[in-house]
Amino acid sequence: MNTDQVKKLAHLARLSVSDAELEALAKEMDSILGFVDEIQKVEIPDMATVLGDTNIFRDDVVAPIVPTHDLIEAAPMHQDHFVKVPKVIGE
Amino acid sequence: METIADIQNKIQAGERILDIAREYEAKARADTRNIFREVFADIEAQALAAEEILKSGKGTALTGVPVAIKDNILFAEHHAGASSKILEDYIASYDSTAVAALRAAGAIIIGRTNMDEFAMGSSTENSAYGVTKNPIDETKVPGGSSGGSAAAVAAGLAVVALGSDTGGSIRQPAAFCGVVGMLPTYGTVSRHGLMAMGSSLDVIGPFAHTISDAQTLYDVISTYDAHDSTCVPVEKRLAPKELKKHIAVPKGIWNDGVDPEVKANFEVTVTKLKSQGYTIDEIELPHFANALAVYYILMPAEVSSNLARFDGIRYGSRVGEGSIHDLYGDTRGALFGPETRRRILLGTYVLSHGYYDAYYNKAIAVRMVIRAELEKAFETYDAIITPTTPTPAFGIGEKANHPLAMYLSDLYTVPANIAQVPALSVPSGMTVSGLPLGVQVIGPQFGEQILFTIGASIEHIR
Repeated sequence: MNTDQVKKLAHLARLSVSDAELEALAKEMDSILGFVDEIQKVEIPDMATVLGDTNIFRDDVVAPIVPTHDLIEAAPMHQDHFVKVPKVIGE
Repeated sequence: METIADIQNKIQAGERILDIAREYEAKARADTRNIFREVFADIEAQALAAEEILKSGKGTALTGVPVAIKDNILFAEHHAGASSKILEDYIASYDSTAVAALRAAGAIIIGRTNMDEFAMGSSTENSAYGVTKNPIDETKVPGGSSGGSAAAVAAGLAVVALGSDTGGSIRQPAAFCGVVGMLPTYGTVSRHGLMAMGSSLDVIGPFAHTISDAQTLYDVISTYDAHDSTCVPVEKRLAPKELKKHIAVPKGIWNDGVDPEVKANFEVTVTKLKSQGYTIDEIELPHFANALAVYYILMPAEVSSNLARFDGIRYGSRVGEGSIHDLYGDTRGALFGPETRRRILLGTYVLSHGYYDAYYNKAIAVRMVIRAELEKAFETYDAIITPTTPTPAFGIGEKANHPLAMYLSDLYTVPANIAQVPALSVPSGMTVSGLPLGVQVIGPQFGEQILFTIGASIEHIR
């Protein structure tokens, strides 16, 4: 992994990473990816067995939830009944 | 150190819950090992509420019992931070189901305990608020990520505690601190109100001094909860009923990294179990050791998704004023610690176009191979036993700069999370220098009762 790849991942993950850290991160990720690569050698007998998940349904009934006010209060910036965010639509 | 029975006896003898709670609060506040992120301010009010529960005749085994909770479990109107700067100011909007169960039972929640940031780590050194010192030897780590909860019980600052276990985060610190710790079967304890790390792996579980206390706490928190769609209805939790007294030890677990004292201690446990009438066989589990590699693909993938919610908009703190993208990046870059950032990047990589099949999908398939292998073993055996950890508690700073070496301390604990089966760490003695050691008992899905029975046998022979 090179520093450009780390930079790209950091962008995808919305994570600012300083240029000084890129080199070390690339090395650490290489070492971890080198380790996990051992799974490539495992033979998978029957892929049909892979899906074990089942859908969980709940009744479509109204139930009490956490008051909206409390959730908005948890936001770092809020005003009245709204969460404050930077402008996201162009001029 | 007091057990739940000791607290019950005190209450029976006429001691006020308020006095018991005050005594524990004083001890917790006097702690110098950084065990608690916060000792709660409303302990007296909780104690008075517990006294009311007792008076009304609705007392339970946990009424008046001081409990500590990990800093990633929500308690309404109390701070919860996952030991991360990004949640420094966050106050829980609601009770987690586990905390609601504790409160209904009349337990006293005395505080939230230090942990590796967002439960990522094996030592508490990844906490944004510094390492917790191991109460048994303060030069050592308490293990992690639930190191504060393990240390709180070991130091007698709480009678029992809750942690969360994604790859060993309850069992490994339990072994390092000399207490009992359990990973329940995935889906038996609601995660509603637990900050999600690896959603296909995370389970809330108990720390205690004894198997009996761990069971009492487990019984209280393991009810069905519709708020967690992965929670399994109680009637569907089917496990083998008859104890075969037949236990397996995986071959090939003794690699170079295993401390000789750990191996010797484990062999003593095996001998003693045999003397109790158990038959113990070494068996081939060829993919047991692959679990760690599977884990370091699936877990970061889930972490990168789950931690996307910490964006500087909805919770906690915000850094930066520029565009929305700068705000996301600056908040997350400045307030997540190095290990959290490493895992988010790793997860983003294994989920990205071009690598998804080679890593994520392949890991899912290997996970199923491991799970099938364990299921097959449980047709013949009640349980699989291993040491809980390859080494006793390591020194503070010893592995802090070696992520991969730190990851290897989860070698024995990770397979149970990968297979979504329960596992218990039971204290099994000490090293020559006085550090605790633990033995791990892995059971079949919903086989908690089997684990408690075998755990009690180990506890008994110690």
